[in-house]
Amino acid sequence: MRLILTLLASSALLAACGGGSSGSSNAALEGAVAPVTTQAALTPGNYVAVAQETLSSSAYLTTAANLATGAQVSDSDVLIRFGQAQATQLSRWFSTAPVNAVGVVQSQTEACAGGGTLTIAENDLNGNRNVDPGDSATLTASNCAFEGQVLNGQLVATVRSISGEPGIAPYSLSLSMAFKDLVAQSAAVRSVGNGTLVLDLNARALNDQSVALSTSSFEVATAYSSTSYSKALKNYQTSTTLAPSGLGATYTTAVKGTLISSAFESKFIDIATPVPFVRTGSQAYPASGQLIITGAAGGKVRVTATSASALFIELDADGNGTYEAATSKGWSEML
Amino acid sequence: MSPAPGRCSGLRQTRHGWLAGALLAGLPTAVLAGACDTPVLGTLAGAERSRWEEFDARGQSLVRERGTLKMAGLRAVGHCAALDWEATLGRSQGARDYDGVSSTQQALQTQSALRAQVATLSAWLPLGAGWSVGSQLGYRQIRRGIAASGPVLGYVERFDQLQAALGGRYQAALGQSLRLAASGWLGGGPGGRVRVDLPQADPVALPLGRHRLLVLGLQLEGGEPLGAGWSWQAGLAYRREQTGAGDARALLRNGVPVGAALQPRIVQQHLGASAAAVYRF
Repeated sequence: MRLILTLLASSALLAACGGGSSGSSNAALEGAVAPVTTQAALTPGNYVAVAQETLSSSAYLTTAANLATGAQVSDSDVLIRFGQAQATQLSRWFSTAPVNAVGVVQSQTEACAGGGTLTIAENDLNGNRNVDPGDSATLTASNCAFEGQVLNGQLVATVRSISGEPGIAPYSLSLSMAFKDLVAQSAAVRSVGNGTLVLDLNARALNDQSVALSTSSFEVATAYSSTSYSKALKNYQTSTTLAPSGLGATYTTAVKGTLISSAFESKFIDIATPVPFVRTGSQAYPASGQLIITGAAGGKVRVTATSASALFIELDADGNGTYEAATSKGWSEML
Repeated sequence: MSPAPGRCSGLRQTRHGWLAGALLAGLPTAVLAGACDTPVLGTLAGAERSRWEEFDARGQSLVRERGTLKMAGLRAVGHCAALDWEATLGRSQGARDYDGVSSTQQALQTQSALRAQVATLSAWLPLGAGWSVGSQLGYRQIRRGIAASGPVLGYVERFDQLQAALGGRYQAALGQSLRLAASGWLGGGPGGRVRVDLPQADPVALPLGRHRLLVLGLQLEGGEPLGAGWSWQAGLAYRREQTGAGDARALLRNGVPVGAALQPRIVQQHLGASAAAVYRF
């Protein structure tokens, strides 16, 4: 179970929220993010927002916030959480699928808790009713209620490799999740996810696991009320390792790739963690680690965890190696 | 083409407000004309059973809260020309048990801390035979702090609402020093707003939907009605407020959208008992 929790923690932020431009258009949400060739300029006016967007788009630190209901709060992370939640169901679906001829795609429909349905079409290549490499499941959501939102669209989960029983260490699982216009909608938010994420899980023991998430291209377009927002990850990879440490454990997270966001005019930045972020199990945020964001003209933003509650953000706008602006922020102000 | 329902009800509420304002507008004129008696001042204390429920767009309950709030307040009552008037300043606070779901639809039990302040100004026009009609303007502020529970984060929100109501009252003497009054108010108000301080976003003001108000009260007053000195009052009141869902607003942090939120429909019911000590100069 801990592995699933780790998996959730790792990838929830991949699809976290980001910056926006005014005006909403559902039509605009359906399209993929246009090819971007321009790097975003890093300026004194945007470097904190760029740092925040990068941190929230990085696969570490925490799961999406779970809030008490007073106001009804929604976010676009639900797409990823939905995908992850279904990943743990693969074994059950394959074991309960109707017995048919080998290679035949068979389907079953389940009711979603809260309303709607989820139709699962399993492609069990060797017909053994076990999850094997190459097996896949196409999930079609039809007004499927999930975490207060309604989902429609498709998610195709393909097993790349598997050993052991997922969820019970030791085991490993590599799963490709292809989002095909998977739409999550609530009264406040409409998000559309497209692209493929690859999850690699390796659980050696309860407190000795690693999870990696990678994508060549994954895009989320979201309308928050009257504000539209889009983000894309390109050639992006991140990993979190849970390792035993004394009586507890440490989480070490690294990230590398390209991020495109309407938070910075739909231009791109490159991100990397020359020093991975590290937090202990008792800490809410990493106490050490460094993230470097590279923008136009070699401009850089350096984000350094100074403690488990604070970080230091510096700007070198012109890429001359001198950080001419800096500010301290609490982690809770950024994530 | 008929007007949209919301616009129609908005007009109705505006008319309520105008009617309430028209009666209350007589007060300054009477004050300026020096036609006012010395007011009666009083303090009141009590408790109310408070119930708060929120519903999503499909009418499903999201949150149900129940608890008891302590009340305290000041009241001034007077007579100006043909009008009786009453001004109150009240405060109630306490905690309610929260039984609902989190933003990810997980069952959640926690507590909310409440602190409400209300100011009202009412005017009554006696019609004879113990009957009066009245109007009331009010401002209500509610601070609600939802406690965190395990991994579920809590936060604070503050509601601000203006209310206008029209009412009727019947008063009867039960003896030489005992009087009974029964009153009712029906009204509403413009949308108002709730300021929400979510842990993962900058504070945001969410609009509230239209507001409806029903108040029923029963009051027993003892003591010499006209002479100087102390008298007492005991009252029971039932108040039902319904606030429609507001429009969604984007949540920002450092100027970057991180989500969206809306205030769902709220139904509040309060049943309170109060006692007041009144001094007539």
